[in-house]
Formats: sequence, C-alpha cells, structure tokens
Amino acid sequence: MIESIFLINGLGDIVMEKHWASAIPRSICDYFFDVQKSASRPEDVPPVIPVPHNYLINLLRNNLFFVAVISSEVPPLFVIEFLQRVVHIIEEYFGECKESIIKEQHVVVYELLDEMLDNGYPLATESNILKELIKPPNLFRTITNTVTGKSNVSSILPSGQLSNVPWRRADVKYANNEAYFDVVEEVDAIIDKMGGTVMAEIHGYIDCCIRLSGNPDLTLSFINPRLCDDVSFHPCVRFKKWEAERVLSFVPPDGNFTLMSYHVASNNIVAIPIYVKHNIIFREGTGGKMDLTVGPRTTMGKTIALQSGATIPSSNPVINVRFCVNQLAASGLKVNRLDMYGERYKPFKGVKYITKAGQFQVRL
Amino acid sequence: MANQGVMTSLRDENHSTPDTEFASEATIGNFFSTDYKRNDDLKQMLDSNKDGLKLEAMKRIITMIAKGRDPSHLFPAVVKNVVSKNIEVKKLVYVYLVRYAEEQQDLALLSISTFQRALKDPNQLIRASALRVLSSIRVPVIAPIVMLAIKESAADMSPYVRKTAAHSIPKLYSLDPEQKDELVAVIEKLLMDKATLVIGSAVMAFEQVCPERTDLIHKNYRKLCNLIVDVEEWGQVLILNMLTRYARTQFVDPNTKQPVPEKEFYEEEEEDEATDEPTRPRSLDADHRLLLRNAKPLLQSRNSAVVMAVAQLYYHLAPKNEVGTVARPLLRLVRSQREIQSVVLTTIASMSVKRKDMFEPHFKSFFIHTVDPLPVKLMKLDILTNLAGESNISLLLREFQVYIASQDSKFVAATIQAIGRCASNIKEVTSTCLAGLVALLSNKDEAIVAESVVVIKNLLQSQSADQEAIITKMIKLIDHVIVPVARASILWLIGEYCDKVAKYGPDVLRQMAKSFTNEEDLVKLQIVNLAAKLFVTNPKQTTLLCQYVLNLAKYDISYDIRDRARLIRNILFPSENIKAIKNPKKIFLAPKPAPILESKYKDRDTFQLGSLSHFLNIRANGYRDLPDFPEVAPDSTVRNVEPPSRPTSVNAERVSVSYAQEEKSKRKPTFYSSSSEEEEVDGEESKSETSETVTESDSEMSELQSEPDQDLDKKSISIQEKTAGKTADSTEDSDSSESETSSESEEDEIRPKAAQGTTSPPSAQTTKSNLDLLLDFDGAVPDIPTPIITPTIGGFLTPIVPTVTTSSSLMSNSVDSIVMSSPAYVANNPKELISRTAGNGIQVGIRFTRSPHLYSSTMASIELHFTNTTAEDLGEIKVANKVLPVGMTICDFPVVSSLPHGQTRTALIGIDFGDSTQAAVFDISIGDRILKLSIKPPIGEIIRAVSMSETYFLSQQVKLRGMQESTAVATLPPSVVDGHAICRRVYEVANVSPIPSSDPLVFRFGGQTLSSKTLVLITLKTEAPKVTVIVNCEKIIIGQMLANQVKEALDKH
Repeated sequence: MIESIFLINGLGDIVMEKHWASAIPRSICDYFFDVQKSASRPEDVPPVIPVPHNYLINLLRNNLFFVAVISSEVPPLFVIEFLQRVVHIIEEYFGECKESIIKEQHVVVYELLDEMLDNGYPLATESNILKELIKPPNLFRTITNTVTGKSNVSSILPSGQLSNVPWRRADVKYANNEAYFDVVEEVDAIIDKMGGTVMAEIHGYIDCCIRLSGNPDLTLSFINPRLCDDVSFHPCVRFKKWEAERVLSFVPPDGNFTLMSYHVASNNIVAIPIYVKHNIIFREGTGGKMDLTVGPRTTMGKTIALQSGATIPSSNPVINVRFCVNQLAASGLKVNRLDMYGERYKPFKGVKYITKAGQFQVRL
Repeated sequence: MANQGVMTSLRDENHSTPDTEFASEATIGNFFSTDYKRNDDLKQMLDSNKDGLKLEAMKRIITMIAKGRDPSHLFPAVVKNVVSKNIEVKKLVYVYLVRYAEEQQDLALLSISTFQRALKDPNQLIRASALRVLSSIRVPVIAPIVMLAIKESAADMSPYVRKTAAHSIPKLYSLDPEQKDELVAVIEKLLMDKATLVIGSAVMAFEQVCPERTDLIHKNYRKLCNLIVDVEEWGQVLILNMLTRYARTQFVDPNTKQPVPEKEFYEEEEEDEATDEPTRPRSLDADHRLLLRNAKPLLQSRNSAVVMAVAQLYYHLAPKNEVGTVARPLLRLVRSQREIQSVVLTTIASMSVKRKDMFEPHFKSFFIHTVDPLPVKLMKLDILTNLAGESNISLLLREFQVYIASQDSKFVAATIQAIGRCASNIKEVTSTCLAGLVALLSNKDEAIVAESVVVIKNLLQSQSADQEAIITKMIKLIDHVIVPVARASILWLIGEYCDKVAKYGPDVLRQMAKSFTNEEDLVKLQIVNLAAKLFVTNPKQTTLLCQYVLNLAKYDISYDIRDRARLIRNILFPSENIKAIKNPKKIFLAPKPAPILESKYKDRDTFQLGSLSHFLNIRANGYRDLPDFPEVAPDSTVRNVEPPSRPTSVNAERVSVSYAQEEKSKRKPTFYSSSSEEEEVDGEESKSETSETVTESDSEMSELQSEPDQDLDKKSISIQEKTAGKTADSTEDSDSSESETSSESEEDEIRPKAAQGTTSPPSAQTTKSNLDLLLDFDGAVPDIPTPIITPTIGGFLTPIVPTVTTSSSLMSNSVDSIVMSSPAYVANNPKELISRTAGNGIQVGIRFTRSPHLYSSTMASIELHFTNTTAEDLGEIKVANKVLPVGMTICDFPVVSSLPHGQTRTALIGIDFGDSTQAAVFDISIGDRILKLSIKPPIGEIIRAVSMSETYFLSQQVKLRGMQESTAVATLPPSVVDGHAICRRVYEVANVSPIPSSDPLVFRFGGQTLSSKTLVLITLKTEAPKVTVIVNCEKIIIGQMLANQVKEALDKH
C-alpha cells in the first residue's frame, strides 16, 4: 500500500512529504527527478515509475506532482484515484490545489492526509466527514484563530462516519434552500476535410450545487432518460431505482458535487452544433492565404459565441475549436422535474444546460 | 546529533528554495540564524501551561515534519503533552508520536498508558483514534499490548472501532510476524462482521496477513457478494480483487464447453451478444453467478478503480458472452485524466488482443486526437490495430493516412508499423497496404521512408505478387535512404530475392563495396550477406566483388563483422585443409518463415488485469498469480452458512416452492434489473440468514448515531413503495440491497440441488453438523405447539449469530457477554385475533410463544389457533397472499390438511417484524375461504430474553444514556406488594429475563430485539408506591413504547 506521499513542484522541489508505515528517505525522489527532467513536457511523465524496491505512482495537477511511494502490488488506479481524491479535498478546503496554498496550509494538509490514509489504506475520504473532523479555513475562522490561537481541528467529534448517509453532514441549515443543476456536455469530435464527421462522442455530466436544509430526498427525472445508457453515479444515487425507473433518486451531499456522468458513444448520431469552413492556399516560399469561417449550425437554432484557436498551418493542419453553447445539451437530454421528499419547505430549483467543445478538431 | 541533522537539512532547504518561507510560518523565518535558540523556544512553549503556546509550538513542529526536517530532538518535550486536555494539541501530538516513536522507543513507552486508558473511553472516536495511534507506534516491546487492544476492539460495539482494529492488524503483523496465528483468529472474526464499514478493512487485513487462507473466505463468500454494493469504494476494490482469486480456485472455467447442455437456471436473460459457439456453455455454479451478478452494478461507480476491478473480474471469470458488458464502462474511463487513461488503455489493449469483439463496435472511440500525449497515441494505435478487421479496415486505413501526415515522427513510425500489422493480419488488404507503403517510400521525411522500408521488408515475405516491382523500386532508393535499418533492409531484400532482381544485384553490391567503410555495422553485415548470397547464385559476375568485400570486412574494426567475414569466407572459398561444404545455397538461401507482426500487449494478460504488474509488464513485489481454474470444482458446500433450519419434511416442501418461483421469475424478461417486482416475490420467501445480515448491518451502522425515527422511516418506505415508489428515506440504499439479498438467498436454497447435477452429490455426512442432527431429532414432530426449550435455542443460534458464541479464544476472557436465556413467562392461552363473527364462523387465536422461530432467530414464532365453529368441514389451511412492508419477512407454516367442524387446529408461523411494531398483513386461505390476518406485535414480543452479568448490564447502560434512555413513572396498585408480583407484570408485557441486582429495590431486566439484536435494558427503581421505569435502548421508539407499556402494566389494578 501507500508508504509515503511526496508533493513535488514543476521545478523538482519537494513541497511536502508525509510518511505512514515508516519514513522513506527523500532520496527516492531522485529517480522521479530523473524521469521528470528527461520528459519533454510534464504530461509525458509516465504515471507509474518502477524504481529499485519501490514504485512511484504520480498524479499531475496544476503543475504539482503528487507522488505516492508503493512497495508492493496494488492496482495503480486505486492509488491514482486516491491521489485524485486528495487533490479534490484540498480544492474543497482551499478553493484551489496549488503550490502556494499548500505551503501556506502545511498543517491542515498534513492533518488531512493523516486522516485520509491509515497505514497506507484509505480511511476517511468523504469531504463532508473530513470537514467535520478538521474545519476548513474561512476568513472568519482565520481571524478568530489568530486572535484566540485555536487551530482548525474540530473539538466536537463528528457522528457522520457512522450514519447511513456517510456523504452528508448532519444538521444542515440554510436560510435560502436552493438546488442547482448544470447539465454540461462536452463534444469530442473529429471533422474531416469535407466537413464529414469522422467520430463524435458526447461526455456529459451533471454538476450540482445543493444547499438544502435537513435531510432532503430528491428525485430527478428526465424527459428522455434512455439517451444515457452508459452512466456512472455519485454513491448517493440509488442504483436500483435507476435500473427500474430511470430516475435519479438520492439524498444529496451538501454543497457542490458531480451527481452523474454519462457517455453517448460514437455509434449514436451526434449533432455537431457548429460548422467550420476553411480555405487555405499555400504558396511556395513565403506567404499563403487562409480563410476560416466558423459559425453555428442553423438547424440547432441557437446563437453561438465562438473563440477559435488555430494551430499554425503545417503539413497537417488541424484546427482545435473551442466553443460554448448555453442552454443547449447536444445530446438532447432534458430534465423533466425535480421532486423533493422528506422536508417541508419549497426549495428554489434551477437547471442549466451547457454544451462545450471537448477535444474538437477539424482536419484541413 | 539530531541538531546536526536539522542543520544540514536546513541548509539544503536554503540552497534549493531560498524563498520558501511564508507568512504563516514567519516565526520560523529567522530560524536558520538562531537555530538553537529557536529550538529552546519551542521546548519552552511546549513546557508552558498555556494551551495556545503549546498549540503554536506543535503547529510549527508539524510544519517542520511536513517539510522533511527532523524535529526528533523535541521528542521528550512533545511526548509529555500526550495527556493534554486540549483535543487540538493532543491530535498534533499523536501525529508527531506516530512519526518519531520508533526512534525514541524508551520515551515513547511513557505515552502508552494514556492510550490504554483512552481505549476504554465511552466515545467511540476516541477509542478508535487511541487504537490507531497505539498500533502505529512501531516499538516492538508493546506488541503484546497492541495485540490485546486489537482483540478487544475487534469485539467493540462500534463498527468504526472494529474497522480501526482491522486496520491495525497489518501494522502489528509487520511489527511482529510471530503474532500471525493470533491475528488470523481476529481476522476470521472480523470477516464475519456484518457491518459494511468493517468488511472492506477486514478483507484488507486478510490480504496483507494471510491471503493464502482461502478457508476463511468460504463461510463469508455469499455475505461479501451480497453486501459489496454497500461497502465503501476502497473496500470494494480489494474485495473484488480478492474474490477474483478466490473464484479462480473454487469454480470451474465457465468457457469450457459441455457436450450435453444442462438446463440453465441462472443463465442471464439479456444476452448482449449472441453466443458464437453452437454448444451451450457450462452452466455456472450458483455462487459463481452470484458474484458476477452482484459485481455488475459497480460498473456504474464513479471510482475508476472500482470499475476496473469489476472489469478484470468479468474478464477473468465470466463466460465469454458476458465479458462484453464491461466494454462501455471502460470506454467511459478512457475519457478521464491522463493517468487513468493510460492504465485503462493498457488494460483495453490487453483485452482487445483476445477479445476483439468487445471493442470492435466502439473502435471509433480510439481515433487519435492531435492533443493526446504521445504514449496515449501509441496505445490507441495498438488497440486500433488489434481491432482491425475486414469490416472496418477501409475506415481505419483512411484514418491511418491522416496520422501519417502528422509532424510527430515517432507517432508516424508507429502508424506505419500499425499499417504493416493490419496488412499482414488481413489478407484482403495486404496489397493495398503494400501499395500505400510503397507510395510512402517517396516521402520527403527520411524517418518515414526508413520505417516503410522495414515494414515492407516484413510484409514482402508473406506476399508473393509484385515482389519484383517493389524491390526494384526500393533498389532505386538505396542512394537516398541513409537510415541504417532501412538500408540494411533493402540489402537483405536484394539478397533474399536475388533470383527475381538478378539484374540489379551485382550493381548494388558494387556500389556498396565502394561505400563499405563508411557504413554502419548493421549495413556492413548485410553487405557481407548480400555478397555471399550473390556469389552463391551468380558466381560469374560477383566472385571478385565478393572476395573484395570479404577482404574489407576482414580488417573491420568490429569483431562481429570480422567473424562473419571469416565464417563466410571459409564456406565459400574453403582453403585446402578444410572440407568444402557441398551446398552453400541451402545455408544462405534457406526459406525463412515470415515474421509475425503482433501486438506488444499480447500475453500480458497472464497478469491480473488492472494490477501494477500488468501495467508495467513486470512481476511486482508481492504480486500473487491468478490461479488457473480447477478441473473439477472443489466442494461447494463449504460456503453454506445457513443450516437447513427446518425439519426435513417441511424443507422438501420449501424447496419445491422456491423452484416454482424460480420458474416464474425466469419467465420475466428482466430478471435482474427489476427490483420492485422482485421484492414482492422474494420478500415473502426471503431467507433468514441473508436478510438478517442486512438488517443487522443497518442497525449497526446507525447504532451509535441516534436515529429516533427509524421505525417511522421503515413505515414510510412501505407506504411509498405502494404509491409508485416515492422515497423519503435514507435507508433506501440498503433496502435495495435487501431485495437483492433476498433473491440471492432464494438461489442459495436451490443451489445444493443444482450442484447435484454438475458435481457429485454433496455427501450428507460432511454437511451435517451436530446441529442438524439436533434438528432432525426435532423433525419428528414438526409443529410442536410448545415453545422450544432453552438448551436448543443456544444450539441452533450458533451459526447464525457468530458474535455471540464464537468459540475463539477471544471470547474466553469476556465473561461479560450476552447469553440467550429462556423466557421467564410464556402466555398459555391464545388471545383472540379474529372473532367468530368477524371470521364468519372461523375463530382465530394468537399466542406469542416467545421462542425464536426455528427458521430464523430473527423471527418471532407465533402460534395461530384456528377454530371452526361453522357447520361444515373446511379444507386445508395455508398462507395465501402476503404483501409485506420492506424489512419484514414471514416464514409460512406447513399446510394444515383440514379443519373439520368444531375442531381447533394450530399452526406455527414465523414473522420477522424487522424491529417495528407495524402489522404484518397477509391472507390465509381455509378451504375456499380467505381470511385477512393482521398481526401487530406488542412491543414486548419483538424482544427476546437475554441474560448478562450486572456489571455488564451497567456498562452497557452507560453507553445508552441521553436520547436513548426513556423513563416513565408508574404507581403501583395496593395489591402489588412484593418484587415477584412486579416482575411478573413486567414479564407479561415483555419477553425479558431478570438480571441479578445488588440493590433489592432495583430490578433489572435484559432483552434484545429479535431482528437487529439491539440491546434493551429495563431498570425498575421501586420507591413504594412509585416505580420509575427506565428503558435504555438504541432504538428510541422501542425504548419509549416499552417504557410506556411497562408503566401501564404496573399501573393496572
């Protein structure tokens, strides 16, 4: 299992280290530095690096490497997912996960890591539980802490770990009860010279921001649920219910989270919301001419704000297009209604649709 | 020495990052200059009696640790603060202690007693954290103390503490491997735990300490399968991987074909792909199927590691036609971050070598985007090549054409190789590909040309047409190509096919001889080879050239070339004293097999997919091989946990019933997906053991978290279930699994019979425990109306409630345990349930026997008395319809053959009320009449009498204070004077047993709820004529209701 975790920045400095079973000397990172130096881009560092006696599994986020030292067989995804969870928790706590913040918050990050992993095995990884164990900093608390000399460690022990709903903290109270759902779809596509679609896929996810008091039980239904046949859920979603009735029934965590993600595969016909017209003339020697028109597909009937970034035309020019369409889900997925049970108040509900370009490339 | 360490590390720090000091640690800012002073400062702060200063000091120390500096010299000062009252200071001290205790063993021992005390703390989180720290202190001397702590914590009430105990086991094992045997005993106990919180960690301990002990898994196998959906995600990964290995030792290969297809009970209805073989695959063992079915929903997990664990489980265990189900979830993962992507692609690449059909329909998903990192591009290319087939090859080749125009030469080279592989694998396109590759020979890019040459060389051997033209074209290139491999390849081709291009051969050799000295070794070798081959076929033109080349080679720098030249010279131009070799042509121009171009992921699947070893293609430390399926499945009865809990005659009847149901459900189109329907069918039939498992774990989860309205919740579920399944309840998740478990248990029932078909019939001798014999004995009189006598109760509970009577040494020291006892009072006469008038002449009486039902200990056994006051004789009595709320199960009574006029018949029914006082409503058919029965249990009847020592009673009572304590004050009527009368009134209301009390004015009673085995403690404090009734129970509703009922009973005149 995970023996140690090192946080290493882009320059090859160790920002932080945490050991579990026993301290592993820093020198182990030298192997990592060698690989880091030889890689042309940080992204080219392989996720698993075997070194004598150990394996280094790393995760790159915001130009910061989270390197876990492994001593024996363990599924690499297990470690990668855990590191990803660490990043996620740090983001939840401090808004971002970057070097300067971690340097500022050494103690809290260290304590978080200590709670999240016991003897190299994940212990408490749900943010709501961690937030009860170790209070996240906010401006008010920072001031009071400075004045009173207290830390962020919660003095009241939580009960969340033992509840049936481990992802939700107890006694949530809001003056305004709101539930927002963002249906975000990213279109991955390759368009060929003639404007034909070589491949197109949609990766969608539903991000929620839920601030509801008490213990609400929500049911979200879609007009056309059959569209998403390949889905993954936040653990709060009752899978059986989805299987049987194709509705999302769940007791939501408090705050922001991704409720579900889905994948509309290339076999289905995906409507591409934009068109790209181009005309490139190369001349020998210097110069040449390039016309590029990008516009919305009229069939979709929506206006599109466009930003296009084109790579320098070369022997194999490709245009990577970025676009963003509000109030449209490319797959056609539509939320039907949201019902709430278990609480009496009327929440404010909102649904937003966004279609974005994922890896959207046009071959010229 | 320690200080020196600090100095050096500090200096290092200063060198590498001069600007790493930040505001929050401003205090350390000038640390370097006043090193010693600062340390003294820290010491003073720690020694002070102000919490604020201590905290500040601890924070600075933790920051030092996090930065990799060594504050171990502060150990004495820090360790003193382990007793600090301030929880924040304490926590940081714990963190410090865990890190440095190993280095300062003697001092660390000072802190041990603090933890030992904390292990007894009433707060579970404090107990857990004490155990966590204690077990993390790597000081060998304390191993026995840790062992003791683990043992105690493993039997703790709180599942969270038990989880921590499981985590501590590997720590102790690595500290002192001698303790293994004792630890294995603890693991065994923890594996039996029913709380989902604990199981994952128990399996983790099992994997690290004793993965070879497969026997520990047998009994827990079905439970693990059934509960896995509710286990936390990390535990799911471990359990799935462990079960993959387990299943490989216990079940036969599902893909070996059976000549005579058997009737398949468990075959999945929705088959994604048609079976390509005409013979039907072997029907799976029910347990094998159980695992596959319960793992499937986890493909929807948001955690990629879980999805991968299921995918590999299916790949290694499932019948061929079902493995396809994992394709789409894996594809979904491909879209994830780069790290996950590369692991998933490696796995897909491996799978696609053998199971092309899985991903073939989705091959477009592997089309390469320019923004993909190079390793990803290469993996996708490999996958695309694996997936290439006649149907998609034209599309693929068009796509490859685009890739060839890429600027990344490594990627282009890989693409050319991919084309080569497609060409050699798919005969239809070989010539097209070859033409395309030849066209590439005129490419501007040197690297592309070189790669094409090499690939063409490989292809030509398997292609007979057009060889001449292609080789001719390549010969023309020899002046332009400078990449050695390519040059060497061309030369090799000329030599190999020298009869076809006989005209050009000598000329090329002449040119090469000219430039020989400037060539790379690789090329030189081929020149020598070419010379030899030409000499053999065309000695007229080339003898001199050949000798010239050999002479050049003779004086080459490379000994390899010199060697080769000498060898060839001796064969071709033997000197006198060496015997000439007769036919050199056979040596130089022997037909050579065409190289096979294959994926580099081939044969990687000998490693378990998704493992570190598989990813690296190297055996990692601690990797355990996936065993091969056994030829013959080992005895499957080892996994049986529930005893055949009914007398034999009844059992036979039951099996037939479940068969009928099986058939029924088979006809349903969506056998596995529909849950609500299933619930209705299976709810009735649900077996004690598994359903108990779930309810138990539920309540344990909520054990210490006060949940006032659990019963109400249950009720609300049932209501919603009826009204189009709206839910408003947090336990719904477990409900779904409950329905699943009940369907599982149904299969468990049939399994032995199904197994008879495939394997030898399970020997009755092995499966029969003494317990069964006991039951057989009872079986002679199946429906005795009298309550079962105490000794049997303990006996037949044994396998069902392992925590109560585990024979392990762990329990030997704990006299403070709960022991089942016989009811102190049993009503003799039935109460009227349905009056003669309401029942149209049939009178129904009811009597709670206060003994656990034979079928399951969670069921209350209820005696029903049917009296026929009508004028006619009525037919058989049996349970007809039952629609039960979730969590409630009924075990039907055996059919009573007839109800003659004027007679009374009794029947014993078992109902698991799920610890609620909700009524069980069901229909009874008597002859052709239907009677609707509604049995609402008095609160005291869903409790079972247990006895315990007074001290244990008090210790448990302390844990159930506050909300969980209900009180009521009763006034005794004057007729009740002595303790006996008071007790009797309590016994009449509730099935509890007396607990010895040291105070004559205080009476104590102990009980346990039937379904979830939650303790119910009753205390009566008499202060004549007032009596204070105190009920402590975790289930607040039960506590309150019971307190009121006891009060009413005592008030009664």
